[in-house]
Amino acid sequence: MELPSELSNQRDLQAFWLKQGVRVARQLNFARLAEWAVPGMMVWAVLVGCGVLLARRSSMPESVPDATGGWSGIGLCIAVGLMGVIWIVAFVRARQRWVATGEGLVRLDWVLSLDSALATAQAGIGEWPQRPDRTTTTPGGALRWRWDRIVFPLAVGACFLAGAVWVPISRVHERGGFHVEAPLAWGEVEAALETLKEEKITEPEKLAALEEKLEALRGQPEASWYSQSSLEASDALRQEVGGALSQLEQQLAKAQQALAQMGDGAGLPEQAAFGDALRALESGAMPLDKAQMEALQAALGPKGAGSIDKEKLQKMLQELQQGAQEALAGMGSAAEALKNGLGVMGIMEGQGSSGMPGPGGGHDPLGFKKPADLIEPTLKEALPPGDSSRAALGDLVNRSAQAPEIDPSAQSAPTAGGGVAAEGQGGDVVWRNEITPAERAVLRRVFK
Amino acid sequence: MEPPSQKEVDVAGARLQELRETLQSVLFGQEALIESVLIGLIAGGHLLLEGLPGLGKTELVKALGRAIALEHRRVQFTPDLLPGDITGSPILQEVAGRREFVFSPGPLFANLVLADEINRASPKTQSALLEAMQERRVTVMGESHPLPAPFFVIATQNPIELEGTYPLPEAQLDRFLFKLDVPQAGASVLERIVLGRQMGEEPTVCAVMSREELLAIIALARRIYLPPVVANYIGRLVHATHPGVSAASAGVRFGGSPRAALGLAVAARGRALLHGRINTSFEDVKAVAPAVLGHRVLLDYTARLAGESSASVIARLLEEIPVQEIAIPTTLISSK
Repeated sequence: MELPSELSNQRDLQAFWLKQGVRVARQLNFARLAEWAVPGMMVWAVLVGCGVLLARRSSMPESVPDATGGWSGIGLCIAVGLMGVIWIVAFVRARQRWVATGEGLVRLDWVLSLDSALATAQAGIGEWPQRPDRTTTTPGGALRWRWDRIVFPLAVGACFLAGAVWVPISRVHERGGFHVEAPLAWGEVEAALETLKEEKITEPEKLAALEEKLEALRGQPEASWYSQSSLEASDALRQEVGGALSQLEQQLAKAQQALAQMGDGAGLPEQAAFGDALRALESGAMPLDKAQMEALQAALGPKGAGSIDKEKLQKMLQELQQGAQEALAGMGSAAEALKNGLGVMGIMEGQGSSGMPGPGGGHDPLGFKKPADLIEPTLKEALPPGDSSRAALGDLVNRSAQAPEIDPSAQSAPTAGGGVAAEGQGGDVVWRNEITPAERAVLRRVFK
Repeated sequence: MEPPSQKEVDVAGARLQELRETLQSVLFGQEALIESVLIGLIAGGHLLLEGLPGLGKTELVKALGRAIALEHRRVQFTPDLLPGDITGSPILQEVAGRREFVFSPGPLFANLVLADEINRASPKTQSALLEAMQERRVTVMGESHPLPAPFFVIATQNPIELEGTYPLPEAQLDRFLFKLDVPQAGASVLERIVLGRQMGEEPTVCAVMSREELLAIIALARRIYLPPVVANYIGRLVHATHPGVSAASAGVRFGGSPRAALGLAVAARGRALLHGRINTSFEDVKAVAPAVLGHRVLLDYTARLAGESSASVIARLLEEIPVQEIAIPTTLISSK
């Protein structure tokens, strides 16, 4: 059945205007959602950016989210979750003020100046108005987007996020003030112990005990590494290792010497000397490895003197001594001190070793030994024989490590008794708490 | 109530247009005033015209009475005018051999009453008039006498020469649907007046509408559809006139009453009918709001000192209060 043309036209108009009303309502609703979501997204971007910056600044292994798991994966999940929460909150808030098609039509009524014709027609009263003239007004132009309110916050958030991801920053541990360098002594001791372990010179139990001490020192908080007690313990450990190594080297040298004196017809005294050297190696602070010791002791067996492979033993002892020397060389300045014969006390005394502030460095005031670098102020060297009264101008007549004492207050010319060189004036200060070095020298000379 | 058909509205609109043109032929250059008067007439409300002498207030009312063929009276209000002088009074007469008081109707018993310079009458007389305006009946000696229908009072008052006048109290002002300012005529209008009129000569006005037709138009106006969104706007607009409710109402002492909201609705209906529509719109409300609310919004002393007026407050209110209760999101711009 065909509808009358007027009714058909009204239906078309109704469909048209309802469609426009739905469109306006959707636009309003989406704009409401954007009104809440856009600032939320900006806040989200700032928060995520801060998180990325913190992650990059800290020593997390993965600073840039790559969705591969780990810290970045957790961070990515948190960021996505936060974004979801923001959109849900925005949707709930916007939903409270959702508008329907009827309100969209009312908005169109007002914007297109239709005198509430759409609201009236929707109520079933009156006819739907004609379509607006597209050349003048379009329903789509009833509401326009304010792109600045949408784009600007999103752009700010995106810039912040991009900056947080791409701006180069240094990690915390890369900064000088946060990383504490271990004391040098630990490295030296560790190097010596590593050498001994590789060369299998000493007993593993002894090495393990020393490593345990070293680990105990390392296990302290970094703030305590350079405390007085820690430094003393470190130095003691280094001296213990160094002394033991030095002793081991000497014992090996003695053993080599004793072995060299053992000839083909060696008597008991030579064998006894070699045996003493071996016992010293066995019972020393750094006992020789058991396998090495057994090989050496085999030379002293019942058939020892006759069946000794002297060259092999010499070579073995040399290798052991060389290993001990290498380990000792790894001790750095401690080895130098030991080689110079200062011994343990020599290191303790005087200036601390290199790279290692000594315990209260400086000279021991009650020590018997004179510091080598101390210049005696009054030390004067003798001049070559000759009459100094005949010295020509420019000749060296005296040499002193100290500047000549010149008293500027001394009178340059005779003065009558009771006379004063300078008369004080009223208000002059007659007493001073501080004196100049020259005045101090004069006083010292007077009261000597 | 059944809304009117477009055909009914068109017929009424044509008659009203004829009436409008007749009035415009009498009063030159006052189209806006004439439209407001016609809206008030359709809405069945009383009008208060305020303007300087000689602007045509009385002429307009007389022309209106003639054009609609209504019984119209003019009362010049003076301080010595008594209530009985306008309502009528009982007169002792001999009826059927007996003397009894017979009520003699006053000038209020007309369809259109021009209360000229109403503010010059004593409050007692003003009160009698205003009671008749509200009740549309007069009670004398315990006997009520209904006023003829339709009954319109168009009062005038002069904003100058206030000495010896009795300004209308706010409660009595509220009885008037509109308070209209009669503007000064421009030079071209004055030229037309000088060319077309003679001093002391009454213009000829033909009746273009009967009393019955007017009553039918008034009844039709009450059937004009008022959409809920427009009613909502009226409610919010009147509510916003109260102090503290809106920013524009700063300095307002008293806002509009429910009678103001009713007046706004009926006036919007009248304007819609005058414009040939079966429904009211936001535009109708905005158009009649200054005339309806202007005399109902009372400013406090400080606002008056600051140069504020009721008209400026209403103008700000119309700007501030959106037609739709939903606020446009900040991410959108409305083209209007």
